[in-house]
Amino acid sequence: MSNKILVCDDEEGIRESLKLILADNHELILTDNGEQCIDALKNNSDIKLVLLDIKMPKVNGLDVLKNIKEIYPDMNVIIVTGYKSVETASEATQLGAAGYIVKPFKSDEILETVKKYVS
Amino acid sequence: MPIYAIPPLISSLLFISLGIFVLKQSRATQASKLAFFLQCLATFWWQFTWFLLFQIPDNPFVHQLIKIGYSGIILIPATFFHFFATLLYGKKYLSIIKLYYLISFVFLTLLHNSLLIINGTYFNHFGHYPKAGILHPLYLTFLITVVIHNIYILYNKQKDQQTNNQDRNQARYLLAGFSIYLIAASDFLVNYGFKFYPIGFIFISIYLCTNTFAIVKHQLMDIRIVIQKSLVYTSLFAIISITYLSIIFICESITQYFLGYQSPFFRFFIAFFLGICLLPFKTHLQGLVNTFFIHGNPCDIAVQNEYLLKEVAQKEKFKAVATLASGVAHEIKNPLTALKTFVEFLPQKKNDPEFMQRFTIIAAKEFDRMENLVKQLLDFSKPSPLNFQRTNISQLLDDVIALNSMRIKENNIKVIKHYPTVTVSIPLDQNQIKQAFINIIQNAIDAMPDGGTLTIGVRVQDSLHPTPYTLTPKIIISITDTGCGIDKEGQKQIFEPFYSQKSQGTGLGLSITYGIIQEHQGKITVNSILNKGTTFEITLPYKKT
Ligand SMILES: [Mg+2]
Repeated sequence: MSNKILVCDDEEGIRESLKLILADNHELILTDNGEQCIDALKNNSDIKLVLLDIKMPKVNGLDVLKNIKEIYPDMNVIIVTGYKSVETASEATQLGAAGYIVKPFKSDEILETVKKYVS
Repeated sequence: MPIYAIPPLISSLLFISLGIFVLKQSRATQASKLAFFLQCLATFWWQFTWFLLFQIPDNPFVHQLIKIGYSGIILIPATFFHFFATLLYGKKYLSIIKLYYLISFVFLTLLHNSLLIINGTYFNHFGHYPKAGILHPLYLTFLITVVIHNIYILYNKQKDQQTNNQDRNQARYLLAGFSIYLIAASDFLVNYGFKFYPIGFIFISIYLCTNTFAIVKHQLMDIRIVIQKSLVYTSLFAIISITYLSIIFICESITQYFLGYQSPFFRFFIAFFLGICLLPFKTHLQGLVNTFFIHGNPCDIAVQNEYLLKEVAQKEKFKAVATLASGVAHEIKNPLTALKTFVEFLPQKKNDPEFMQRFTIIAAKEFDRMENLVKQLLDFSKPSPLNFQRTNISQLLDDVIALNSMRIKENNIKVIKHYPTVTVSIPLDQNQIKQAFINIIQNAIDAMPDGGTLTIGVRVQDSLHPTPYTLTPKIIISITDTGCGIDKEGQKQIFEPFYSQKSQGTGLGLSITYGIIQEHQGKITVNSILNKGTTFEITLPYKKT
């Protein structure tokens, strides 16, 4: 079974952090905007999980989420964001996000959540 | 629906919705809100029953309906006293309020169990109307007593030297409003067999609606400005309605006589025409109300308005601070998360050279970002006092371009300058204005990563040698790029703090620019077409010194 995770965050620091936490046991694809994220999904049919930032320039994370769910309704998407607002969280859940992680996160938190979806 | 049933329907619905709204929304004290609500409820009760009544020309329930509706009328004097006394005096008149309610309930009992208050109905052209019973004059006596008591407490309040000016003015307005309300007492004549359409609803409706408005606005402004305004409209409305009704009456008699029928279109036409004709009187009435009720002291209103504006500004400020705080939190969370994760892995990976290299790069970058954020925040929150120096604007722009020449070259950007032939110098805080332009030009460069054209124009609007009669001349600086552009939404928010379309942007740059331009009494606008480019236009006043 594949353990491929797609990360989409506009900030290098966050991408590097997630790489640090996950790269030992998972195969990672790092993208820094929504377009790349969708492209990566199209090119890699074995992606099991997407970790998605909300506040990104150009295309907002929620729009990316909507887009992903349109093309891949069964894809697991976890929102990783600095905003802990009830509205965004509930909007994300309504759009079909599987989970919500708030920055600053702990590595355990990430591993714990990821474990539910990827072997 | 018969036309005569429409006014009571409208007024009843207005009352109940406004009453509920005030109860839920207003910032006034709980007790006065409740009193106000009761006042509305009583009126709704009465008006809504009248609406039903005017619909059914003949029905066995008419008599019951009239009694139900009249219950509202019976309660009105007590609810009024309740409202005035609570709003102006708090709990002082509590026992009298209770007494008035008690008397009202006695009348209610009489109304429902005997023919002493209401004894049958009149049938007029607009529908049924209650016929006064033998004890009805007793109710009128009670009503007059409460009215006099109302006037008495309002009058005392507005005269009382120990009360503050605000409460006294409030009492003054309420008193004036109440006098208008009293015109509605003419409806009682219909109870005694006079045959005319009861127009009291007009005065009551306007009075109560405007007061509701005043209380709702209590959240934002002082009650008396609004009551004063409402008086103007009440009087205007009263004049219109009286003129309207008499003209309608005359015209309908004439058309009836000559044509043998009445046209509803004609009524609407007259109403519309009158409304337009009487509108210019608004300002005169405003003046009259001001002279009568604030004794010709327009300063008072000015002071109130000033106070109001300050309050609004304060609220805006709070909102801005809240946005700022959440923005700062978000901007700091990202670098913080990265640093935290790297530090967490440091003990186990300290011998991994690749990790150490990444760590050094990331840490340095994230620390820089946080430092930059703090610096910008300081610029944003505490603009240093301006230090004006006569500055050649073209020279200053050249300096800014020179400062960014490296990146301009890197991105392969062509710079075009349109400067005036004469030297234009104005007093500016050089450092601040430079900062303002740097922020704009850096954005322009960021918007054109694959090359483009940066056009910088300076022009002078109006004569440089103004006579006292010409406008102050202005200097207009435009900075245009051929980059990716900003959409309509973005253009609206672009000067707001923490709005950014760049991944590494703090979203403070253009807010700072905006602030600096404002400090210089200038103006900044943005104009952009997606994928075509963006133009910022800065207008600065041309001053000699
Ligand atoms: Mg982000």
